[in-house]
Parts: sequence; structure tokens; C-alpha cells
Amino acid sequence: MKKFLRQTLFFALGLFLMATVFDVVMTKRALRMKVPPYVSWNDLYQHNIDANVLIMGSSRAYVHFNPAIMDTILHANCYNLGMNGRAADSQILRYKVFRRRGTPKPKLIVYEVSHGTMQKSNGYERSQFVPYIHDPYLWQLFHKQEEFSVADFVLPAWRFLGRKKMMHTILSPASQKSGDNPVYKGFKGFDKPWDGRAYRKQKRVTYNSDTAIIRQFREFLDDCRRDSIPVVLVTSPFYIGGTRKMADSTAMHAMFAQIADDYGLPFLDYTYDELCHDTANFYNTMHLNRTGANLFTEKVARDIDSVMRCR
Amino acid sequence: MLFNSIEFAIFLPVVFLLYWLVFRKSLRGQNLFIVAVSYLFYGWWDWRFLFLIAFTSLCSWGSGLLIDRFRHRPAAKAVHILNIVLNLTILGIFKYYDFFVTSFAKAFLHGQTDGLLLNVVLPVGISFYTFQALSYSIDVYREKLEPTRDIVQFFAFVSFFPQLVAGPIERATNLLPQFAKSRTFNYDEAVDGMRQILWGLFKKIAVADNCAAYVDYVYGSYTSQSGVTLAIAAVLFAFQIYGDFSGYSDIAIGTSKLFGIKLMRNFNNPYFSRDIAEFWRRWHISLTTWFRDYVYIPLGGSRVSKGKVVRNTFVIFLLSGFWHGANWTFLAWGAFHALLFLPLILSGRNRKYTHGIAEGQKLPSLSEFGRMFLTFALVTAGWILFRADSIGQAWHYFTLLPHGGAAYTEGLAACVAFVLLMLVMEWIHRAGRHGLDLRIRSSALRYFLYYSLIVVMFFAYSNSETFIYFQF
Repeated sequence: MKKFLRQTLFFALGLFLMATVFDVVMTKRALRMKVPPYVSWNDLYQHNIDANVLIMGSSRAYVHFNPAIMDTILHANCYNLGMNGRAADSQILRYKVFRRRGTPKPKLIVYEVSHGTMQKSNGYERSQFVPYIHDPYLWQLFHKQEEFSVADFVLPAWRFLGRKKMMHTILSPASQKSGDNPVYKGFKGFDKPWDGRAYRKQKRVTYNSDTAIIRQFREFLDDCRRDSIPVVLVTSPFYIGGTRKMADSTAMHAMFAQIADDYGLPFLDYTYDELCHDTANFYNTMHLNRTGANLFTEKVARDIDSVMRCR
Repeated sequence: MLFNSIEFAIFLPVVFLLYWLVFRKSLRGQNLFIVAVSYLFYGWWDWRFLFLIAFTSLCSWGSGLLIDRFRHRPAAKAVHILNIVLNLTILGIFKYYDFFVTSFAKAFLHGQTDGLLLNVVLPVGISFYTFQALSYSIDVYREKLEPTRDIVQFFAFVSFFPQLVAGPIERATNLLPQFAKSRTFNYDEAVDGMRQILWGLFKKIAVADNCAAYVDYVYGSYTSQSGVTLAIAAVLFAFQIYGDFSGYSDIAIGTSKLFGIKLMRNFNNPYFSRDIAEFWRRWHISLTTWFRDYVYIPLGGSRVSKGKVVRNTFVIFLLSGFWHGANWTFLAWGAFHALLFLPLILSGRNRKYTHGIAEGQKLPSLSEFGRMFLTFALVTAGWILFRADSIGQAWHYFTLLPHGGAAYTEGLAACVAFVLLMLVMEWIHRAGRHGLDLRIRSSALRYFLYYSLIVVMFFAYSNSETFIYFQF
């Protein structure tokens, strides 16, 4: 029995050492990645963000707001914190990571609010957090949401288990370079054409808001008010046909209008903007392509500029 | 609790240490502990069905005592039949009631089933533990086994956690006596058990789960797939179900060895079989022998007229198919195998291959390889019936097979690599107890092999898929 236990322990120790080495190597490589979605996280963790205007939101913020154009019009230094497939809880978490290392408070936050902002996460795009999960901020949120297990936190390499695509990305030499279409200050423009086939297949969708996320969003706005950080809520364009397929778009806009009213915030709604009628600006119903994003950024930046001047 | 889960990785060492360090001095204590942790293991899935296992166990244990008390009197037979009816009724309600009602409604009520269906959840492993409990009372009735008066021993026999939910379906004659005598820790058996667990996990995680991703995708969109892709998916399903079920059995048998309990072998390299009869001696051995001993032989087996042999063959294959689930596809699968088996048994060639495969040789002869290939092809054709949602879908799948076209290759290379690795290992160790029954003296080489398998599993791991046979 003793021999068996000794050998099993010895074997497990070998396994633990192997896993630790693997974990260290993978983490080091992950922290040097230049490809999305990791590049923005790496910017955050390596203090590469020196911005006084922050853009927050989901993938619609990520691909719609070009900081280069915003910088020129607003005479500011913008950074886009938009993140794929995640709701306000994750978006606010990213902001907290940005702020907690003594980073000066931003002069303005532009928050893109739309159908996914208050929707509870179903685990989509969860692997983007894997390299940084040992950060207590991230751990606290995702452990509660059951998106990660205790094993992910305490066992070396466990968090990479089953994430084949992610491991492949981390181990690929291409991930250490920016590539042809690099992410610029958190923004990624896509030169993709309109996908009419996907649009025709798209069914009517209903979005459910999560009360806990709404509460968190309001708490975030409370914090901003306390810190005297001006916030502008923006609903960026949807392709008009896509808006018609949303079962509750009116209620959603009413909710954001109410929140803006409660906090006295400007709410710029581009749901029915002229940009929304031309498929040349979109690659799918929810996302503008680079052309559309640049046109939109110019428009929204001028509107923000005038709104902020009036206040 | 799944064998391939983090919960089980914690559960097993804790139970192992308590079993040998705390409870080893008392046989009754050890058995009680086995029952407690087995109920915890099962209750992890759904605690409400613990009452069902307890009830099944209690009925079979009580009927064993009553049969013994009324020995050679009509009452013994009555108790025996009552116990069988009771167990099969429970199984029938949970597993087959909705199927029969739906089939009846389709035939006579224009498919109207409003208010007739129970829609109850199928308790995991119900077919396995019901058959195991039944084997006890039948053996007691046949005087092959003395009834046990120790209820803890009996409950441990029915609920022993490694094989509770997906077998092997143990015989009371093999397993029950092991709970009646004190167990001592055996180093060699424990090490072999660990190896078998590792091998079972490899088959499940690397082979079955990766094949499952390909197979599920193809079956989900089979009408738009090429014939080549459909053929590949059919072959991969054969390896998926083998990796899944034999992997589970290996983990169950290996785990039992850690507790000083020897379970029967459930798979013996079935895809190396040279004809269908040999395949059925090597595939799901515990179920096949159960039907042989408790149905086929009582019906007269093969020592009756040819007409009755045909009947008996169809009976056990149809029952075997139906045991898997309430669907016409399983019955068709059973009938298909009966048709393949009949020519062999009627011509007296069903026991032609009872010796080992390519004994004393490294590779099979060309004719052996040809027979193995043909047998595998026939078995794979049967799996199409087994995997399909309906007979219509299976037929449609068959008709699409001759259509050519390019193969869908996403994830295919990994599946092929893992399947080949499994086949090579099982071929090398075909005379052994499992695919990792190593005869390597160098401990460094052995450790290298173990770690390599773990690394392969780590990179191969996709999603923690449940075991296919849990649904049966």
C-alpha cells in the first residue's frame, strides 16, 4: 500500500511539474500576443493604454468606433475597450482593470449600448479571459458566474483544457505579430462585404435583459457620477432590416433612454440613421464594415463634440 | 458523476484512502462504506432515483430469501416470477411505456397521445442494475447460488459505484461472494487498475469524444454531405461507440481493482473479430452472456430443431436490441445481427474462431485480415441503424452512401490518428487484459508512455461528453 501511494504521489508530482511548466510557457506567450481579443487585454495588463477618452461596449463598440478619427475630431487620446460577445458586466470589469492601477480617470466615456449590453452571458468568447484568470478581479466575477471552475484557478494548465483553438493560437508564431490588419487602440475595422445570405436566414430575435446586469450598469454610472466622469450613451447603427427583425427594439431603446434620463446623460441613438439603410456600410445586420465604421465614427465624434460643448 | 470529470478525480482518491485506511479492518464497515459512496456517486446525478435502486435491491434481496424459504414449493416459483415481473415493470414504465403508447397511437389513434404519455426521465443505468439484480434472484431460484442474508452485502453488489451506471452487468455468482470475504490490498492489481483507468480515459477522451464531434456534425446534416463523408462518419461512429463504451468498462474494471474487486471483462478487442459470432463473443460480453444464460439456453439454445434455433436467435438479438432503448432502430439493429448470425449457427460454424487472433504472430494473415475487415464492415453497417433517429433516416443514409464527392475533413486527421493509436496498442496487447497491459520492463519507458497518453488526452480533450451507454 505504501509503495503504491508513494508511486502514485511521485507520478502525480511529475504531472504537476509538467503542467506547471506548460502553464508558465503558455501564459508568457499569451501575454505577448498581438492578435484580438488578447491584444487589448495585453495592452491593459502591460499599462500600454494612455487614454483620456474611453469607448466601451460590445463587439459593436469594438468594430464601430475608430479612435484615429475620434482623436482628430475630439482632440483627445481615445482607446476602444469594446469586447466581443460580452455584456456590461464584462465590459465594466475591463474598465475596472484599466482604472485600478492608478491610471488617471478618463475625461469622457462613450458607452455603446444595444441589444447585448444587458444580456446575461452564455459563455460566448469566454476563452479571452483564460490567460488572465489569476487576476482576482476576473476571478471574482467569473467564478460567481460559473464560467470557470475552481480547478481553472488552482490547477496549473487546467484552464487551457478543451480550448484547442486557443492553445493553437497561443502556440502559433503568427499570434506574436500584428498581421496585415492590426488592432489600432482597441479598434478593428473589417473590410468584409455584406452577407446577404446570412441576413435572409436570420430569424426574428428577442433579447432578454438581466436585472443583475442592469443593476451593475447603474452602479457603474453611479461611480462615474461620483468621480465626475462624463458618460455619453450611444446606440450605433444596425442595418435597418435587422432592426425590424428585433422583437423588442422599441422597449430596449426606451430602457436606455430612461437610464440616460435618470442620470442626466446624453443618449445618441443612431438606430434609424441614414447609414442604416445602405448595406454597403455593413458586413452583417449588427456590424458596420470599415467604411461604415469610419463614416459613423466621424458623425458620432462631431455629435459628441457638440453635445459636450453645450454641457 | 462522470468518470471523466474533476468531481470523480477528487472522489476516487478520497474514497480509496478511506476504504483502505479507515474501513479495512471491518468487512461490514467496508461494505457499508461502499454502499454509502455508491449512493453518493449515483445521487450526484439525481438523488430521487436512489429510492428506485434501493427498492429494486430490496425486492431482489427479499425474493432471494423467500425463494430459499419456500424451496421446492410452488410459492418459490411465484415469488421468483413476481420479482421478475416487478423489475421488468419498473424498467418498462421508465424506459418503454412512452414508446409503446406512441407506437400504438400512431397505428390506431392518428398519433394522438394527449394525456397518455408519462414523459418521465430515464434513470441512468436502470437497465444495467435491473439486469444485475435479476441475475441474483434467477440464480438463487436455479440453486446456483445461496441467498445472502446480509442486506449490506447485497446492496453493495447492486450499487457498486464503478459499474453501477453502465456495467459490466455483473453476475451475482462472481461479484456477491467478493463482498462476503475480506479484501486485501494487492499492489500489482492496483497498478494494473490504474493502467486500465488511464487506457479507458484515453479511449473515451481522445477517441470517442473526438469521433463524436465529427459524427454528430455529419449526422446532423447528413442530407447535404457527400457519400464519402457519410461512409467516414459511419466508420468513426463504430470507433466512437467502442471507445466510449469499452472506455467506460475499462475505467470501471480498473477502479474496481483498486478496491480489491474483480469485475468480468466486457470487451475483448471486438473489431479484430473474424466473423459475427466471434464479434458477439467479444462485444459487451456481460450483456451477451446474460441473454445467453438467462434467455437463450432456457429456450433450448442451439440444441433444438432448426426452426427453434432461428426463433431463439431472433429472440436474443431482438431483446438485445430492445434492451438498448425504445426505438425501432434498435430492434432493426438486433434483427440485422440475427440475420448475420443465423447462417453461421445453422451451418455449425459459429464457434469456428474461439482461439486468439494471429497467435504467436505479429500481424494477421491476409485471409484473417480480410475476414476482420468484412466483419468490421458488416458491424459498421449495423451501427448506421443503431445511430439513426428512425429507420427512415437510416435507410436514407444508406441510399446516400454510393454518392461520391469530397470528404469533410474538419477534425478528421485527429480522429484517424487517435483511432490508429488505439488499434495499434490493442493489437499489440490483444492477448492481455486491456490495451495498456504492458510487458515493458523499463520503468522509465512505462512512465514515458503514461505521460505521453496524458499529454495526448490534454490536447485532444474537447467537451466533457457524457457516456453513450448512460442512456441505456
